[in-house]
Amino acid sequence: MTTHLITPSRRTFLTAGVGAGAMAAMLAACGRGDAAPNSGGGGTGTGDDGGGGGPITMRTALWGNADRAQLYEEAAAMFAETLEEDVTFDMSFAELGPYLERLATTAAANDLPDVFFMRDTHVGWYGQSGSLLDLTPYLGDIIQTDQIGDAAIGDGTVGEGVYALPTHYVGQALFYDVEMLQEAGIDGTAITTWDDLAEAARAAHGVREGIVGLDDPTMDNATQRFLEAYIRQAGEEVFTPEGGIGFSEDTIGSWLEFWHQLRSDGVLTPPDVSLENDAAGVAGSMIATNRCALALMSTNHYVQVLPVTQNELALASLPVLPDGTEDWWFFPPILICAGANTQHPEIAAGLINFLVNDTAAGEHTLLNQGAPSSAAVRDAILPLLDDGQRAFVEQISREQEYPRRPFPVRPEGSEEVNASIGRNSTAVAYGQMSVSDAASAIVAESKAAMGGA
Amino acid sequence: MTDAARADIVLMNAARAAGRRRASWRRFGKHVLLVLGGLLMLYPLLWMVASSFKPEALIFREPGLLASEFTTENYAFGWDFLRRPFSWYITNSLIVVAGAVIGNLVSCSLAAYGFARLNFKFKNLWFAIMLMSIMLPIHVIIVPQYILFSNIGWINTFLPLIAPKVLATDAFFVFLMVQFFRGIPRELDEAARIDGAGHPRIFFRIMLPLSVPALATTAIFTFIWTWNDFFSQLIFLTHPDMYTVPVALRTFLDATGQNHWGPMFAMSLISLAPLFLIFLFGQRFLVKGIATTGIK
Repeated sequence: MTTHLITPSRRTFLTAGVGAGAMAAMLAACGRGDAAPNSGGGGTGTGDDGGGGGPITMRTALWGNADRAQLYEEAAAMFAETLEEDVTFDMSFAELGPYLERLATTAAANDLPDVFFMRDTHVGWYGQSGSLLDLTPYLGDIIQTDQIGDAAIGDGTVGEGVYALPTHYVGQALFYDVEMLQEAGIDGTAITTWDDLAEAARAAHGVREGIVGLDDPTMDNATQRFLEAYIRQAGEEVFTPEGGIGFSEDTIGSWLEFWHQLRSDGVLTPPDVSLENDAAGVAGSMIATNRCALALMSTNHYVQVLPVTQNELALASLPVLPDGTEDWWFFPPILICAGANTQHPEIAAGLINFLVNDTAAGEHTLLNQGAPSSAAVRDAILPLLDDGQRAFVEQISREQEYPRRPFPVRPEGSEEVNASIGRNSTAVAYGQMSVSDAASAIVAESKAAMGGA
Repeated sequence: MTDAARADIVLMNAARAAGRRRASWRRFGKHVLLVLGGLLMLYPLLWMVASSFKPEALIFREPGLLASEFTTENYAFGWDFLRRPFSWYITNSLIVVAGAVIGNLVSCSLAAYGFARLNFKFKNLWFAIMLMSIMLPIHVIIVPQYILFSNIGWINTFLPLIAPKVLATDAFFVFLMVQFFRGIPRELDEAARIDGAGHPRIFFRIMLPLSVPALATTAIFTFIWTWNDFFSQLIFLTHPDMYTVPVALRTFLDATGQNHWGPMFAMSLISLAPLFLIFLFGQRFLVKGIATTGIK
């Protein structure tokens, strides 16, 4: 055995350990230290820079992929150029699920980004928890509201405060395959009621080999917008303004029965295929891949479906109940908000205004998140759009003219209600549950999720 | 030898040969089953490989392994899809992984030596508390951690992912090494002590060389777990330039818009390479056992 002259003492022993640790830490710190200038400041990321007239770094965040992040980063840079201060916007982004997890953690640490996009499903919770900046003092001043209307302000109102504003809207729509319906002898433009839809689905089913009449939307447990439309048409609400359950067992039963009938007739997508399609996204959906004749989709998906589909697809408004309410229309908003912890609320409000109202920003981001909430921006971008995009924006603009009663903000626990509806609808689709059992289970579970209200 | 005896031997040989044949058939059957089972397990991976070479539109339209079209477009597109080339994110991951591996090796072995060989007050209590920390789910500790790291300005650096490793916070590996050290005969320490070695010398000269399998296990598993870790990297690294491989891979997807499945599969496959290599080179340290121990 070789002998070393230096016997390590306790001190050198400790130094070795600490040294290795320090080395690892330095390795980490040096690695990409240049990559994120100023953004590692912790706290609000802005705290030390404020007030003194020095450069300001503000953090923004959105959900989506890198394409969307780049568009909005450029739009934020356009806004920064209009400012007197030297402001840099640092954008972080992630897919929706991880995005919400990250938001939850940073909100708990009171370290939310300065300006960020918010789901309408979550604004109620964040608004109530005091994590968001109340925009009320800036409305009509820094943030112009004349082009978005009162309904838009209602979309972000939680209690007494306005905590978010919609930059974009999406909607619900009917997509149909023009040629398939023609071959089935159905005029797609004449589908206005749910019964019309059922009739068209039966006629179109099997019009070509393997073609399903209508895609089954009931197993989607994300948002349940079509059911919400149906409930509002029936004169009820999914959630009451007080945060309770606003729908009856009868209504949800008749909805499930409508789909159950079609499923029994064999004109819906089989449940296994529906589940598989969940992973394939919009581009892999039944209607985009020309495997069905009719489908209920988000209106904005029309823009994503057109480039990948091989057949001619048309866009129409959602069917209605013939004796239902007229003012059921609603548009799920894409909201933008500011963290209550921001050191520069006025710049944050300015960026919100820019992304909501500025036509240059609208012309840059176009329809990436949906149809712009501002009527002026919608009009300004129309000439830049292709036919499919224009059809989408025009449909939203047209539907926005209809009477609309308030669309209650999603209360805390709303996700569980959606999950319950999805779960029980799936059980019905698989024949494991009767329609009436599912309807009463949904009502009972939803009430439990909302604290018995 | 009588005819009868000879006939017996022939019969016995025949029976033995038949037995051998039966045994070899049985072995063949077992292998076929194992291969089929292995292929079944491999199918998702094979599917990912196949899909990474398909045009985007065909991935879900022709879900089989063989596609009508072959393209390497996904690799080119995926490599340059984000703001930086994908190698940037691989480098980020490698930095985090290197820090975590070095940190865990140094700190966990030191902590384990303390628990295994030193005597101090409330040793068992501390050991129990350490073991309990294994059971805390990440969601419980991530918020306090975030507040801490945010206050010292470490968000968007790799430090929150590495510094804790330097402090032996991976209780699983401490436990693993404590158990391993306890298996090393105390007589070795005592012999060293008689020769005048103190704790440092015993640790570096006796324990560490005998613990290569435990160290290799720690290094390999730290590598894999850190390489695949998504949640903490998502939370602590928010600037796109700091993204690691798992976080970067998720930016190919967008539930509310367009998903780039093909490029994601392609980049996933590339990011599997380091894991594959670490297994390939690491496994011999795992099996190279404790046979070298001095005293039986």
